[in-house]
Order: sequence, then C-alpha cells, then structure tokens
Amino acid sequence: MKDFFDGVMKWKTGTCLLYTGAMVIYLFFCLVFNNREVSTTLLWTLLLASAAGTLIQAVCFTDWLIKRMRYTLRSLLFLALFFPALSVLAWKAEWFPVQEPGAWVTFTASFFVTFLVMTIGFEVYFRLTGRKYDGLLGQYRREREEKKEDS
Amino acid sequence: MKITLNQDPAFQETEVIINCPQADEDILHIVAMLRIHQRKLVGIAEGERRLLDVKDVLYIDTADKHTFLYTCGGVYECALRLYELEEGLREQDFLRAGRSAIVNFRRIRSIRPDMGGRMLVTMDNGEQLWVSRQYAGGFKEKLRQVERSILS
Repeated sequence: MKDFFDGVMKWKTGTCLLYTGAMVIYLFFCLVFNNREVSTTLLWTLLLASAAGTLIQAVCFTDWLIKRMRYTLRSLLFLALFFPALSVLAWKAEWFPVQEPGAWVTFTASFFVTFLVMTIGFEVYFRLTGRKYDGLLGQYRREREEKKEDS
Repeated sequence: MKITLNQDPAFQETEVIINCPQADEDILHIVAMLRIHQRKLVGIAEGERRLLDVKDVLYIDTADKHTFLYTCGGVYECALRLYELEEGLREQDFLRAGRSAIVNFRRIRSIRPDMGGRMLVTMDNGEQLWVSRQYAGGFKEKLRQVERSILS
C-alpha cells in the first residue's frame, strides 16, 4: 500500500512539472501567434496530457513495468504512446486550428523538436555526470593506494 | 549458552575461544560474524568452506533467503543475512544497491547515472549491476565525500 501511495505522489509531482513545462511552451506560442485568450478546456486537456505523459514516461523510462529494454527502444515506445495521445487531445480540444494542415505540421514539428532537445539534453547530462563520477572514483582509488603505501 | 569475558592487561592480543560439543549452525553464524572483524568472510562453495578476504568480494546478493558472495573467482554462499553483512561491512565501504544487493564500492570500475534516478555500476570483473533510485543516494553521498576530500 505504501508503494502505491509513493507512486501516486511521484505521479502528482511529475504531472505538476510537466504541466508547468507545457504551459511555458504554450505561452511561448501564444506570444508568437499573438493569442490573447486561453480557454479552460485547453487548460484541462493540458493537465490531462501532463498526467498521461507522466504515466507514459514512467512506463517507458523506469523499471516499473519494463525491466529490461534498450534506451532507443524505450524512446520509440514513448513516442508511439505519447504522440498519438497528445494528437487526440489536441484534436478534441482544438488546441490550434485543427482544419489547417499547416497547424498540424507546426504541432508535429514542435513535438519532435522538444523531444529531440530533451533527449540530447539528458544524454549530455548523463555523459558529463558519468565522466565526473569516474573521475571521483579514480581519485578515491588513488587515495586508497596512498593510504596503503603510508601504512 | 554461557558467555565469559576475561579481561586482563597481561593478554597480548584478543583471542576468542568457543567451547562447544558440536559446531552447529548457530556456532558457525557466531564465527562468521566474528570473522567480519578480521575483514574476512566465510563462503561455502561445492560443500567446502573458504575464508575470503572482504576486499576480494565484489558484491553480495540474496535469492530465496540464501546469501551469495561474488568474487572474481566464483560465487560462494554465506550463512549471514544481508542486513548483518551490510552492518558489518559498512566501514569497508559496502553500500546497499537494492533490496537484495550490497556492492563493494572499492571494487567499482565505473558509475553511470540512468533514467529514473537509477545508476549502473560496472564492477572490476566487468559485471554490471543496477543501483535502484531508492539507494542511489548512498552512492552519490559517497562520491560527494570523495569530492569534498579533494577540495579540502
């Protein structure tokens, strides 16, 4: 039971973070396209998308359900689940003029660019952190060797 | 069980003598606990007892209530429980990696962070183990200690 409530709390936190990020992106587009009004339907569906996104993220990028899978396959699974879910919400709630093909192109491009930037960002972060950890491990081993020599 | 402690400044070193009719499971457990203080672990492989140096143990895990010690040379069963080993080997830089594993930090070749706050550690023999998010904090803290010692 404790694990369940811990999971719910993590889901809530993840949803809040994703919702904030989604709002920042949406506000950016409002600024670019001079949109001065936001419907409550859009806000609710963005919240729903954030909750769904957090859940899909947990399925794809943690060992909660999938214990072993290559990172590339995890990323593809995330795309296969999240992009259709987001598209359905965008279409139903009319996040943009859904009759215009150009709007769909912009939506799709924005999604993939955001995904690509985040993937590259994570990759760079993991590599740099890994290098830092290895440096510290090397230092730790050198210190232990020195201690052995001294004693 | 009778426990006697003889304290005398005349003694040159500490000696533990166990007098018993037969070395049963309980006695072997006591001996195994005492061995940790000598930085030794008692491992059983193919029915034979071996005395292993703690520094040679890469990691320890449990499966079906049995505890196993992993070295570069092989796998040994241990009579002690994981929590007993964790407590006894903390000073030797053994850290909890998951609910059923503890890792010898001194025998880690590399550490990689991963999605979901997990870590992937590669041991000296090339074996890779996952450190769950719940226990990754202990590894980060250890690395921070190393970083602080460099800066000071």
